[in-house]
Amino acid sequence: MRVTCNSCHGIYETVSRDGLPYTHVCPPLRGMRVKVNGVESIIPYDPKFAGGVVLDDAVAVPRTSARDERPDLTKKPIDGVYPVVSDGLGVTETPAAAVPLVGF
Amino acid sequence: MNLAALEAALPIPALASRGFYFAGDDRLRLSSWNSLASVTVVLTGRFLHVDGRVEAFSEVHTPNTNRTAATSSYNRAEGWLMDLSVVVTGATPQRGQTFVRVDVVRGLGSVDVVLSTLLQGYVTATKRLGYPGSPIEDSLAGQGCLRSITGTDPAAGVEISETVPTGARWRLIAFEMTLVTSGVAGNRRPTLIADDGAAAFFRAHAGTNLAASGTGNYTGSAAPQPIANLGSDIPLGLPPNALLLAAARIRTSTTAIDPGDNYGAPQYEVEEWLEAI
Repeated sequence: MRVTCNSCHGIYETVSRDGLPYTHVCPPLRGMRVKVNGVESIIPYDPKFAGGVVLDDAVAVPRTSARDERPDLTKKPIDGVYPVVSDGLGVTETPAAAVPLVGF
Repeated sequence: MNLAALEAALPIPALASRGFYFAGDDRLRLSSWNSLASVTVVLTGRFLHVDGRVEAFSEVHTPNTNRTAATSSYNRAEGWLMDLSVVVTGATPQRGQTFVRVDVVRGLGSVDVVLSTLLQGYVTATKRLGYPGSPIEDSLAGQGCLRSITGTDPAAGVEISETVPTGARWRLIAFEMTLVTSGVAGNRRPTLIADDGAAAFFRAHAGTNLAASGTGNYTGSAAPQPIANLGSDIPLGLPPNALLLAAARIRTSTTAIDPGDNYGAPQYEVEEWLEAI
């Protein structure tokens, strides 16, 4: 089944072609390092702060309401199955023909 | 005392010496780690009761499909386990997709004590594990499962990010992605990053910029590649034998990415093992 993540708007198949469930985790936001009063912190990249801020392509910031379909081993299993880390804003079923895929 | 006299002195002489003794409060515990849907694990064997009766038994176990452990316990009377076999039905997993362990335990729940491990290894619909005979195998040993995965197609302006699932270990073999840039002026340059879920430990920079209204097909591989681009195909280097633990990410970071730039769904090949813990 093809779905659209309502948190990051990424599109994916819930089951890979080899039959294994696909585990979607929303991509993080690009981060940037800022220094205020000598204290450095990492915040989501914002172009309006680009002047004077050196981007570091290695840093990232978790997306608000990110969907994370990995099992959360810190939670109590329900019927033997661990709940996912976060449902985020849920998913919307997306017909395969409705979205032209970019790629090969 | 010679062997014949010794066997005559034992209550179940010839068979008892070849079995695994159960005291009556011992149980068989089957644990599984699995990543494929519709898998059923069947445990069969023969058990010699103290009255000399040989019982053939069969137990059915349903693994989880998200690589987390599932366990089932089966009571056994006093006697001797003669042999045991485990096989998959209901689906046809590759090696690397269904891992099982059979223990002899005493006690219940969190206070049980593992007395012995009889079987441990990957099992398929055609490759059984058997006791006695099969070696105790680590889930990270040997060849894993080869997978070609289509990742998430990100929204326009969003970077690619693929996460190693919980309970898996990956060896990244190849990675391919396409970027179509918008008409907004400016050069973009993708970087493919591997991190541990937070800190980056590898970056592969594309050797050339991609201008506005362009298409770049990026191919990452540890194998030697031509330095120059061929048309819109742009090589990226990957570290050899790139092992990635659960929660690690393979993601992009694109210099001067525009909200209208659009990555397609990445396609990548990995070798996957289950982290049976």
